Amino acid sequence: MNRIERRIKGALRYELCGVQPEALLNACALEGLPFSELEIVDAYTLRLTIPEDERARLEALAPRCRCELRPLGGTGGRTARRALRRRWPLLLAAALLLLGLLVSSLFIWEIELIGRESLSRGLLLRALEDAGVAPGAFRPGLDADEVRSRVLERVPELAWMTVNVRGSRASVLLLERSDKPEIYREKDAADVTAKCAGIVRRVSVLNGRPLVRPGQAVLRGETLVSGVMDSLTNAPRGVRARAEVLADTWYEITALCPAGRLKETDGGTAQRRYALVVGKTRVNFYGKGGKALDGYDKIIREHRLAVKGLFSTPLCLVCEELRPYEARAAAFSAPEELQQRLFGELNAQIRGEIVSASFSVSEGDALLGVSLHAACREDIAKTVDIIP
Amino acid sequence: MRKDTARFSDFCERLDLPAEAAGAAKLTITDGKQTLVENHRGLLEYGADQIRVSTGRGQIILRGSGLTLGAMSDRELLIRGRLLSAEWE
Repeated sequence: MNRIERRIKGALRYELCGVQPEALLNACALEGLPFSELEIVDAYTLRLTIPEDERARLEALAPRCRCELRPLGGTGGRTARRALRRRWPLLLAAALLLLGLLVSSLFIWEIELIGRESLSRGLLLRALEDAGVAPGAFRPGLDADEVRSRVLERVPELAWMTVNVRGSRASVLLLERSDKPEIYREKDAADVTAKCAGIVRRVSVLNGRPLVRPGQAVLRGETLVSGVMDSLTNAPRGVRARAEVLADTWYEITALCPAGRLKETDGGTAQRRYALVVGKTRVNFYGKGGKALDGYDKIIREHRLAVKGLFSTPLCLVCEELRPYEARAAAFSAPEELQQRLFGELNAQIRGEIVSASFSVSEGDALLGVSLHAACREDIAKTVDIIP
Repeated sequence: MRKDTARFSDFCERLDLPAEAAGAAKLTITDGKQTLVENHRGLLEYGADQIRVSTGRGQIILRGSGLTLGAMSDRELLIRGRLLSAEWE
């Protein structure tokens, strides 16, 4: 008899004494009376456990085998039911808790946004709330198609979205709209022009008529490859010129920043305060004496009463940690940081490589200037439509 | 009854039939830790060091340490514990 079965059906423990207690075991086996957990106390005494409903049969068998039975107690079954009857408030609390969990699972208490990249969380949550998805929303009343339509209408930056509700947790899958690529028709005539000034080093023409040669200096906007092709038999025809034009270019970028800055330093012992959020209602345990947040770093941790992936409840314990800090003036000691940012900025601008770079630092009235002087080799081709 | 069983057992033996089909006791020992007695006729003695089992035509004496009765039905008997010897009388 395993433990679970014993708990449900109930089991009784007996001590049996007699000249030959084995006779009772034989009688039990013959009668098909199951027993377990046999324990030898001495040569004339044994202890055994039987199912609760076999009590009468065992008590009838014992005198026939000249054994005396002594009950030692019981587990589960009637014994447990009697004990529970005495502790009815416990039962009531358990039933109320279960009922609360069942009822709370019909509502949404947690919203998870998956796939958010650039859109703000607040904007999306407001749009979802307007569409009916908010903490406390009745789950069976949600129509995913309607929510999708309303949110997509409200947030045009979204390309697609869906709401999956599992327990009390609503997972909102989002796909943000990507920028539309440049669309052109192959038959539209276009020139290739220089996107910046430089000295041409190599010209690779795929379509069109080249107008520049390696070693030639060009200015910004100058046509490098023409989209107008001459014909011996017909009038000139327009094509979409395509080319790669490698050129040496030069850049100078300057960034300014304050010469000094404030730096936070540890200002003492951190303090904690707690609040309980029930649905949309917040109960603060620190009264109305909230601290002004000047001079404090505030770190918020939320602990929701939930089992992840299974269920969620409206109860959420909020722990706020206030760490005091002191702002002290500190010298801006890192023009290297600015140099790296300038370097990164230039790399993002060009379609090529930086051949050489140098920096110069200048100090003005409370301002620090860092300039980047760079020589690059890059593709300066830029397609420009010919307007007829 | 006992005589009839013995005759039937001899008859089965002549026909090369398994003796346990005629109700003969069968002892199965697994790794010296679990002993199964089939076709028993009841317990004669039960202790942690020695268990005697009736087979109808004799008895089996199992000696060991920490012997306990795991399960018992009218035909089978499962004994757990370290078995050191088994005697057939």
